[in-house]
Amino acid sequence: MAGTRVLIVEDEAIIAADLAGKLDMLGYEVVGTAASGEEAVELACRLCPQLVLMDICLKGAMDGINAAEAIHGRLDVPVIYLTAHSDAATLARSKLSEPFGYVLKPFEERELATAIEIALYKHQADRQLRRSHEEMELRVEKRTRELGQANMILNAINQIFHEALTCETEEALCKKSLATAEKLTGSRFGIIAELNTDGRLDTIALSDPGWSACRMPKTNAVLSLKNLQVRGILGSAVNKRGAAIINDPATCPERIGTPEGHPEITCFLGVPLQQSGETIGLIGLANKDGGYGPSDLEAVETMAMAIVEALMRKRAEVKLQELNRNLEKRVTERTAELETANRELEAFAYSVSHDLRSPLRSINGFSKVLKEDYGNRLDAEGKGFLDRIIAATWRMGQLIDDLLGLARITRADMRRAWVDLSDLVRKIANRLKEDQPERQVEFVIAEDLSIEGDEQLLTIMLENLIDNAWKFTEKVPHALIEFGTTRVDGSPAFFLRDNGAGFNMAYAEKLFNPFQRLHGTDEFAGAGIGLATVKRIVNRHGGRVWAEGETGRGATFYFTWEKLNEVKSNPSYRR
Amino acid sequence: MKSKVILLIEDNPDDVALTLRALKKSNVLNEIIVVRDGVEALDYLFGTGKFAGRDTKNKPQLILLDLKMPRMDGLEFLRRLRADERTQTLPVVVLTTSCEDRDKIESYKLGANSYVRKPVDFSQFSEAVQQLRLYWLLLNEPPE
Repeated sequence: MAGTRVLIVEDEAIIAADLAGKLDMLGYEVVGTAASGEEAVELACRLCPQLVLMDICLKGAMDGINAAEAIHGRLDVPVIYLTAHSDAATLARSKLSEPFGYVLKPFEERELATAIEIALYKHQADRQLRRSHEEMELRVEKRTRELGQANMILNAINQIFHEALTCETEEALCKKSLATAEKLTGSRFGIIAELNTDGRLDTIALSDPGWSACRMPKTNAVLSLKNLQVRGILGSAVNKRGAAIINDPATCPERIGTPEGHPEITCFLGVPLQQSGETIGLIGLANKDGGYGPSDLEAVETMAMAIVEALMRKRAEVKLQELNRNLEKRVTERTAELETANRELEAFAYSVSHDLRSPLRSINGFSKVLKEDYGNRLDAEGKGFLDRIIAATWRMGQLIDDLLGLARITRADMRRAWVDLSDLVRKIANRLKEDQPERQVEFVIAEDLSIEGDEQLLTIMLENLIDNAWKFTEKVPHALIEFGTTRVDGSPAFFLRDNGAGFNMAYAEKLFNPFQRLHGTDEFAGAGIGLATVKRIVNRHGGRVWAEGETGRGATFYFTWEKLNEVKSNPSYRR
Repeated sequence: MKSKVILLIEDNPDDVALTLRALKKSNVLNEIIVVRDGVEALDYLFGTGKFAGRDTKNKPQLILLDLKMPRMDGLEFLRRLRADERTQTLPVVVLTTSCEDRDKIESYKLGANSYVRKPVDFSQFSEAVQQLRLYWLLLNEPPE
């Protein structure tokens, strides 16, 4: 490379001058010529050449190889040996000094130029390699440090979430989190505080070292825990809405000083606690030896996110527990209320059965007495009135009984067992036939239909349905009553069908209301309580009942049952 | 021999009148003592209170007992009646408007001999009284 600064080391002055001339011609700059090893080292250090041409055989104590080693120890400069020696021992020695070239005298200019260019190039490449190697080492070291830090942060976060699972309260959780942050950063003490609705700070956790270092009078200290004004060094993290490192609190413009007895703050790191971008509080750490750095900041910022997350989880958990407790309490209260209501209902039913019937009996009784004893003084119309009074007491007596029956069905205990419905229907049909042998009614009853339920209630239900069918087919010449199962909208359902008086579908819903009648009492007898009873019984078994019909063309009553799909699965009822 | 008395324990005067009429119509000739509640009934039986000095050897042939009464109700009266040696064998027919199972069960548990529900219809009641007379006054043989 033209202009390269070259130092010549040659004890023969003529050879040195010749060499300098050649180099000059080749375009190199000869910065100096040394005649001995010692001078070579001295000149190299002073002139800082980019290349040294070194004769091995020099006068004096230090030969060329020794001089080259000495220069290497001081400078990073390539050395080329120029020598007439080519014996094996010298070559071996020279190799140990890592020369960049070895040119045997005598040599051509071209040979020298090539050796110089190769040496320069090699030296350049070496240097680059060394530099990139060093850089790599630095980067590996940095990355290792970073990974170590990240690992520590991760461990700290793990610790926080672990605490979230095990700590009972949010205070305990924050205290443990704070201790973790203090340990990670090497802080002496710290605080976790939350902004309250007034925009002031409430302390959630204060580290034990901090608390015990505190010499504040106890009442002041306790007072200073809650509802703190957001200001001073502590408030800086919240006010600035960003993390703050204050390593020289004495000169900090926001400094307001510490309360009496509070340990002196030598340095401070404050990181806001944020949720959905809103600052909700802060974690403050203080008095790390040597002050806080960016890695501390990074660590605490990451931990802050974990603390918010853990805190919110803990709060949700506590809230859930509270809700559960409330729910349990409400269930207990509601159960008690229902029990009271039930007792009241029973008392009411009891009093109805006693007290309402009592005056009715008087009205009925004395009307009869009147008729018996004073009948001869009344005309036909007067006696007719008495008959009406008596009939009315009769109806009301029936009504009271029906009402009581309905109330009893609603509150009766259920004793569940498998019940053969087909058999029940058959028994009821037979009873009706025996009671009214003059009526010709055909029953078609599907076999082996069983369900799980309370036999007594099921009997009452079927009696009501079949009594209705029996009653409303009274005026039909060929009465037919069918019982069986069918599918309605793909689901199994029982049905009881008759070809009697039927009803207007417009009133289908009303049918099941207590005291709802669709026919006049003169037409068909009854209080209108039967279907209401049926509905309650079906409902109590988790089923549904509904009716279809048409005036003058009969009615069909359907009912479903809980677990109706299991209807026929009970083998004990298969024949 | 003069027939023994019948003790009717009933607080409702209407019911008293109707019961007396039904008994009369059924040709019950026994003297009928009417008391308003359990306390008076015990007084009568044990010769205390307003019945102090009564000859308690003269025991009623039959007690007709209402359940719902002031001061001492029918069930409490039954309990005391059966707890006392002097009265534990007296035949008691509960005559009540209640059709509650628990009243019925409790009455029998406490030693009622019969439980008759007073129907609203007076004719039915008269029939029931007729039956009572037939059984308790004519057929039944109480221990002496």
